[in-house]
Amino acid sequence: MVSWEELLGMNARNEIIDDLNPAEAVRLANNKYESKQRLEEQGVSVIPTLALLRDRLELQEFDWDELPEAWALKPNFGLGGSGILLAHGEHEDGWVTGSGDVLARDMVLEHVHAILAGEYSMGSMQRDWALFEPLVVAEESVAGLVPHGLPDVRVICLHGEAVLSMARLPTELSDGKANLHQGAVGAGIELDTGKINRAFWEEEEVTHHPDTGVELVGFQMPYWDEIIDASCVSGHASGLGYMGADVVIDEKRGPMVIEVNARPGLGIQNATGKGLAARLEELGRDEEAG
Amino acid sequence: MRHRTAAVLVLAVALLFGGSPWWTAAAQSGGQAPTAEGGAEGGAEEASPQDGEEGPPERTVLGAEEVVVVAPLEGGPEVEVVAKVDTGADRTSIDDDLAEELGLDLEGAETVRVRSSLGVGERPLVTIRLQLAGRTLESEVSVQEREELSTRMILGRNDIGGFLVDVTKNRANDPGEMPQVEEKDEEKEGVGSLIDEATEIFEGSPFLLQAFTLLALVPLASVIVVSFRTFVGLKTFGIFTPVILALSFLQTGVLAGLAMFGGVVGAGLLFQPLLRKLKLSRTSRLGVLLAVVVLVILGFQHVFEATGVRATLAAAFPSVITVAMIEQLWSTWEQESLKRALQVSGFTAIVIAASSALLLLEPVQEMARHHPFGVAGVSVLLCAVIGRYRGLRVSELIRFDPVASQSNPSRSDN
Repeated sequence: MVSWEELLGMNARNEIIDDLNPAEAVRLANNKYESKQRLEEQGVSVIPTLALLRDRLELQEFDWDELPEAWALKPNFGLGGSGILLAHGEHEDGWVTGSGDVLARDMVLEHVHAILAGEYSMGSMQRDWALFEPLVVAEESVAGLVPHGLPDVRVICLHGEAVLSMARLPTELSDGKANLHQGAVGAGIELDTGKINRAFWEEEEVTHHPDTGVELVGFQMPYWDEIIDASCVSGHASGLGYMGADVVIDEKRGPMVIEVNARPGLGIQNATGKGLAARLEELGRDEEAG
Repeated sequence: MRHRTAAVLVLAVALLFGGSPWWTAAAQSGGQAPTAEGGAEGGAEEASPQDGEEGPPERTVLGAEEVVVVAPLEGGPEVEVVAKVDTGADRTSIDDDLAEELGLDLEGAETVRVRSSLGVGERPLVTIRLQLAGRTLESEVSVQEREELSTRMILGRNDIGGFLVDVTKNRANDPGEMPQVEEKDEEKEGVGSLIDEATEIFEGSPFLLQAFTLLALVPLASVIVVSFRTFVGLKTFGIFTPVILALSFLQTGVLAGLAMFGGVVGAGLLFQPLLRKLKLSRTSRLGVLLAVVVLVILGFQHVFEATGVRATLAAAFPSVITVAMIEQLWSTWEQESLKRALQVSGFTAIVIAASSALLLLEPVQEMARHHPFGVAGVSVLLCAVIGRYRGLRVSELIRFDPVASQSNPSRSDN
């Protein structure tokens, strides 16, 4: 049971962001490629970059044979996971998607053009870059929680200290996407132990995944200490005083930071059952005392 | 409890809007605004051609009472009445029995606020033709309940501007023959009058605000938009898109504006998936959308004209900003869901309707007309004060209700 005073609203969150996130750091966070470079310099494990195409010329010169069998194509300045194309394997005409549809090379080319034209970028009309990354395959135990799609862990950090964390679990409703507002399950994780202790889907609390029926409460996140470490270092390295680190767990590479978010949403309060305002105040007090 | 404050404020705003039927407010402030200020102008204009032609004005002298023939504007029964000449009245008025005898539609008429010896009240405002001392005038007259008074008609300054008055005389002139007008098409009585009635509500009022007044209303509209964002938390397409649309609603009327909003949103929902299938480049897709939006607006214009709503109406609807809105509608649909896209469309419509309704309120218009600097200045203050609010939004009270108010069985031990 949380009192209204402990909950953080948009109005208060926006002020925190204005106060703690310098414009330069926000610009960096919005640029996936350069963020990854910055984090990598600080020793954070990130998803490697296969190719970065910044304009049509670079696209023309791009050698498609460089691509591995499975990859992810993303808009570098994309927002909310839109405009992402995933290839799970090769096919005589090109590649295949997770659902087995053929991804012809022409379609991929068209998608790159759309990305470059700014179709999925944040400010409208802005030019964008196309980013190829290897496809992340979720670690087995985590992958077992969801029907398909890539689950991730969102850790909110204040000045590089973990505030709240949750797992974001794709559903059929979310169409494999990990965004809560698109219908993914938000599962609160205890910071100390890495155990899921509450799950929230759409507008109500749940204990099991709605599609797979797997019990979520009590699930132990693998690599928990590494996830928290990577998140906190990202918090420092990004220059964002208040941020959300998104961490995926690859079956081969282990935890990798996939994105730093300068404006993390408030849905984590429903997922964890805890108020952000109260937690931020707690940490602020500790900081002053320490 | 800061969120309570928000709720109270929202309620207050809602009450403000709920207080008066705003589509009638639209009609009212539109139709009557110019004449209310310059009531005498109408009459003077009517009379001036004659003055001009005759060189040195040889004005007809009216007595304290005159015989007048009155008739509905479109033709119909002609009634001869004795009217009192009242140089103290701004506007000519007739009593309600006379209005009924002429078959005037008082229910659907615009209204005007009048102060008279009978107190302050709302009166229907109708346009009639009157024949006075050999002249035919078109006059906008108010309708009064005047049972206790002996006179059925009072001639105000708007109609007697071209005459001199000699109170020692009585019934000094012969009204003369009223020229015939073509009778209204009888067929229109059935279906036509129904359409007329429907369009009257629909129409709002295309009135021309002075640029200064309109400009002063812009920041006021943004106060509404900022309030909705900060206190209610309604997500709309674009932050200031509702402001621009609300201002256009001042010209189109709220109901017509909402109908058109629905029309373009519908067209957007229909055309976006088709356009995506065609795989057009982004710029050309936006170009196609702009043309589609203009087609929809033209379509509305056509329908409004055909049903007798005033002609300049639809053109005031902004097309370019609407295309940006349709793009956002699509990305919401794609990234979230169709349901969410429709929801946000609805929220956008609510905010636009609320903003334009506020701007159409008579007192607000008055303020903007007379104190544009004051209105804009107060808007600056209000926006700044609202911007300091850090409490929860109404939408968040709903969103976080599952965490806050329910007793939580799986309380964490962390």
